[in-house]
Amino acid sequence: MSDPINANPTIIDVANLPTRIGNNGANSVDGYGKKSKQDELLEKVLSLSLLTPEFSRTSSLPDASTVPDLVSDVEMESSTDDELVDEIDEESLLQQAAEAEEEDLIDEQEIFDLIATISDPEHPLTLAQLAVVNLHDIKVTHGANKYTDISEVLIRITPTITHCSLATLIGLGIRVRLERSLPPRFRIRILIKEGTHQSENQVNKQLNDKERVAAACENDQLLSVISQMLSSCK
Amino acid sequence: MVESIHNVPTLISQYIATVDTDDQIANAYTEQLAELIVEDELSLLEFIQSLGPTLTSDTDALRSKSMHCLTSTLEHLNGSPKLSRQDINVIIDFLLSKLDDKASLQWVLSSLQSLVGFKNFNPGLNQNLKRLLNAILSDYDPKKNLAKIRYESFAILKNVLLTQKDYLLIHQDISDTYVKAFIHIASGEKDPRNLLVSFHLNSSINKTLVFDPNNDLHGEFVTDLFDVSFCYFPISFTPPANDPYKITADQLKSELRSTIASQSLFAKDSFSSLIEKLTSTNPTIRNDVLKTLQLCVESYSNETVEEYWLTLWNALKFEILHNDVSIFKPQLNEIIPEDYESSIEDSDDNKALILTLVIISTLFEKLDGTTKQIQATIINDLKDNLVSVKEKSQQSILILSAIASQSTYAFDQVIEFVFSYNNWGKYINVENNSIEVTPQPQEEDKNDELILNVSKQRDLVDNLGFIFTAYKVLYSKLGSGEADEFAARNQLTQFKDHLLIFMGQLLTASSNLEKTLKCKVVQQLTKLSSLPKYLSQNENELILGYFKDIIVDTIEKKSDNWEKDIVLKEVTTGVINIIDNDHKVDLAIELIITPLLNLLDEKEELIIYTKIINIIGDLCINYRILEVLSIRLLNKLIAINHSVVPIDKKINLFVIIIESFTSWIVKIETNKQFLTNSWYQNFVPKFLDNVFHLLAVKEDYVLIELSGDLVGLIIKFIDKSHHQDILNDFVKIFFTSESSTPLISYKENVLETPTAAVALLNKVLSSIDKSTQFKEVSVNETVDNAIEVIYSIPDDEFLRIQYLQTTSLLVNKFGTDDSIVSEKLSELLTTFKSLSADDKLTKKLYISFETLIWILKALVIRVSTEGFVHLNKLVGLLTSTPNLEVKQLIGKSLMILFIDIKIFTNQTPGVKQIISKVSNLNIKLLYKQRIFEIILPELIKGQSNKGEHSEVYLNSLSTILKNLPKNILVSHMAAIFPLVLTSLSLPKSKTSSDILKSTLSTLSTIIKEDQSTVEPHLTKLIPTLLTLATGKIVYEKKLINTEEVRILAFQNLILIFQRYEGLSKYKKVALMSLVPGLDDRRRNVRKLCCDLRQILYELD
Repeated sequence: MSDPINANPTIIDVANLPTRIGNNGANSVDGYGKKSKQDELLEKVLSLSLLTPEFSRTSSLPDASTVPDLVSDVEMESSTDDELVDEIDEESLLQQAAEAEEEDLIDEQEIFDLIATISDPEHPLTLAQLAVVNLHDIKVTHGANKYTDISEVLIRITPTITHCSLATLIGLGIRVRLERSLPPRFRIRILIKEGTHQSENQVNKQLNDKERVAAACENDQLLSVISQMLSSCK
Repeated sequence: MVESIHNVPTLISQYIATVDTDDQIANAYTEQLAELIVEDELSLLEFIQSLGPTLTSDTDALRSKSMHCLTSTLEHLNGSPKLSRQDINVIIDFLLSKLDDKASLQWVLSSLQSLVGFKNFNPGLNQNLKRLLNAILSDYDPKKNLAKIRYESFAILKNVLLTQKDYLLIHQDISDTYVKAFIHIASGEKDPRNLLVSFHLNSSINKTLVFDPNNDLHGEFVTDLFDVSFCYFPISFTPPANDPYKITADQLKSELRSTIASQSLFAKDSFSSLIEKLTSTNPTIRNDVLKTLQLCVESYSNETVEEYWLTLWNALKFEILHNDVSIFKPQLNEIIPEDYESSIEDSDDNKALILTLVIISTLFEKLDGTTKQIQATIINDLKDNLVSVKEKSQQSILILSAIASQSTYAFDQVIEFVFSYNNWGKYINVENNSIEVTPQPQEEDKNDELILNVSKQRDLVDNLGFIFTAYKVLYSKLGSGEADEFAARNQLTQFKDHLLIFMGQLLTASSNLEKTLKCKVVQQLTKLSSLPKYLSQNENELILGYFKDIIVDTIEKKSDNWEKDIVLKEVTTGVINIIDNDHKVDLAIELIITPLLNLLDEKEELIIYTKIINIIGDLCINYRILEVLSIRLLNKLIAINHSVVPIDKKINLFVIIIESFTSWIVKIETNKQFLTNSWYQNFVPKFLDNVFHLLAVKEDYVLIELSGDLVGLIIKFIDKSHHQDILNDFVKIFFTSESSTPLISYKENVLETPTAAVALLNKVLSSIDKSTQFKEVSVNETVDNAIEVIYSIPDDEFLRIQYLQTTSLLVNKFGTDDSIVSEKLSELLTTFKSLSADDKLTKKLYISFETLIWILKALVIRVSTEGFVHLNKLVGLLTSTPNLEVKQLIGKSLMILFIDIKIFTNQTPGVKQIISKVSNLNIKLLYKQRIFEIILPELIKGQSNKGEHSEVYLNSLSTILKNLPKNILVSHMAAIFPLVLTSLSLPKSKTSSDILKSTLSTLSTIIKEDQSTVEPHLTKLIPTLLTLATGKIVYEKKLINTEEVRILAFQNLILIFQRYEGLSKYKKVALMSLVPGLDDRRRNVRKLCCDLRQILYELD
């Protein structure tokens, strides 16, 4: 890596990378809904009240004296074969409570954020700055049922030059980062974007071959290079 | 001669013995020797005789030390006249003969250096100086000696120049020899310390001695002197780690630079060599070259600079013309930023651009007499770039603006040139006065060029900006008389109308999509308006008129998010600039603010109404405007009151106006304080009248709250001397049924009819100075009445809490006798104490307790003794009461003592030393600390009692911690930490997300502040936190570890794994147990989980 092959790539300024910030809520007008202001004030003032719920008109908290449901915490270290069954049972029990929370689905931007900050092995820049990974080249497909079906992330990477010898290393770095950061229900596929590399097929095969990836991860030296790449992840 | 009491040989041998080991002691001996000589107890001859045996010793070390002794003694003699001319002659002879003694050479040179400075050193006698210089030339070879010895040779020459300057100036031959000697020793020098002296000496020679350019020998000298310095350029130096002399690269650079600039005769070599080095691609070098050129232009004689200016210009113009000049911003008020030297790094390419402009400006300034010719050349060179707007136009304009800001003559020339019809005159419709007939074929081109596309229009406007900047810079440079003269008759004046019309057209006629163009025009119109003495009143009105049209148009178009329109923002900034810098406030009020206020129509949508108000708020930047707005907005309120819009809308409009207006007052007060005395008469009565009018129709809490904030704020800034009267007024208004004071009419007595308006009263009471007193009404009665009201409204929680606050405020600020309330508290406490385990609390008892705790708050925050007595009883009761309900109630209530509510806190924290001298809060600084120290031990005791109600204490603690400043928490961390641990592992039937939240944030404070407390408990803490972060803890179908709890748990884990060493044993388990966290429903949690896993993977 001492002699960079492509010493002069086009660089995207960090400020111009796609981001989630500003996309949300930009359209929602900050209306002076006085209702919310009123509620806010009421809530603030009423938090000073010492009355217990039974005397308080406004509160609707459940009575504290009912018998608790028999629900246990999630088992933290279960690794038996019937783990899946257990978890599903538990999930179905817990689902009701958890459903109260809104779910943010894992989307393309989230995947992009995960891998955008990986450092390029030969430039002091991130993959997003070098446009090796692009938001529109990421595709997330969710399984029909979160708990039983497999989901998939497909990423197409664009090497900076067509003969980039490090395309496999970059791909491997992305794979390691995603395997560490995504729940196991995701299958990760990393492909070279069509027509951007001389030996596209070879690289694709190498990147998506379980055995070869596993073997590569046994190689300490390779792993330390990858750790180096991932150390800039934010 | 008296026999010396000192033994000279002993002193000498002691010196020789110690000099290698301890300089200081050795120095003391030679000091004594020098003293002996000064006091005539020892003659030089005797001294040398005593030194004799060692001085001629065969042992190098001994001889050297002996010579060192001589040097050191001479040094201590410090030029004393005790040494006669003859003495000096003798020593010099001796020393010169010793120049071949390698071992003692350093001391020989050093002695010579001292001798040159002696009073009795006579350069002419015995040709001492000449012999010395010749000896250096012939008998001393710098290349064969170490750096510290070479240093001595520089020191000799330095001292010679310092002490024998006059002699050198008279004796040409000696000074020639001197220069030769310097060139001899300076050649090939490499040591940074010596180089520093060498450069310095070189400059001194150039400044002191005169070289005749027609003399061949001198010509040679100049070349050599240049060579021994310039051969180092550009110098780069990294100081070694243990450099005893602490020489920096900057020192070397600037010394070398001033050497090169010290001799005008260097010019023939220096300019060409420097320009050649300008081709470097390294910005640091280029900046170094440019700085050196700049210094040369500044220091060389005028004739020299005049001779070389064309060369320089030709080289420098390309620096600007062929580079991107986007760092120069047309909207700024200067072309060359004042602090460019420090604010831009030397390694920045942009600095080169600035430096180049600086050099061109300096050139111009220096050659004042000949500028006409220079200007003609420059203009001629740049002509082609300005015929139309094209690539190099901006660069050319920059150069011209830099020149134009140098003198009025230059300015006029540049303006005349730039705005001539053949150049840009044609774009701004200047008449074609030139008689020259343009050949027909070119006519077509001309027409093409006359029509500018939008991007060229943008460039043109930017370029005009630089010209305006030149006006500004030049004006501020001139003396006041000159400046007036300049303002009256500069060339730019005659193009004023053209410019205004041209830019006005761009603004009004160009497409609305061309936002950047419009922004640029707005910037430049703003700048035109800010040029001193340039525009007339009418012309300023015209510009503000343009701005008004933009604002009004934008608002009336009502597109989505119109308030974010960049042109609108630019206009706002422009108007602020105009108001701020030039005191054109009246104009702005009349032309901008009034039309904006007119747009505020009560039938308007709320959102648009708010946005317009916000624009007005942005423009409200000083008291003048604020005052105008206070009157206009008051009228708006009246109008709204009388309008036919529904009541809810009216209230909303009131809320918008009042809230904004309050924030503007705070903004102006924070900036520059003003008194609101007159507002109490002019604003407050009418304002309250309108508010009450509306409240009579519908009692709106938010409106009351905000009106209270506004009136409170105004009162706070009324001079303290009026506060007693204000209090009297408000007591009368609210606490009696007398229908009115002359000022404000309000018929109700809030103590008879419970009403939410009491919230407004609270704000007023809170803002009144604490030195005031209740005059006509008794405080105690008022308090009793207030408490009665509280009991009378058991079902209206909001109102009850307002009245509780009133009670608290009354006791806190106006209570005269604590013993009366104290009795009340005792009574209440006894009631609660007498309750047995089975007694059920009634609602009335709850309310009594609320009264108790609020009165207690009033007392403890001003650290009253009575207050602490009762507080102690109360916490005692917390642990001792058999009644669980009472226990829970007390536990829950303690946070009331800590919570910061508006009426008990400073609402204008940005204002220091308030102008009205009002001190409105009756609160002691450290009260939280004191009550916390009373409460905490009881909580700890209660919780550790193994009683089954430990969660009461933990809950109480967690609500207190939420309101406790960090600095208090820090000193009790060790005591609190065990409770934190217990809280985290409470069974889920007893915990809640609130407990967890406050516990986790306390935990992170503890980890950050004091790691040692936590460290031993990590084995337990890490798994607990992991469960909280990734598990699902559900109780009664409610999720206990909510998103916030999980986020806090993750943040704590991240803190732990970042701050503590040796946690790799947890790596595997933690990574495993974090997997569910990767699939959390909330994205924020997933993010933290990834971050934590990344940290874990990096552990080893």
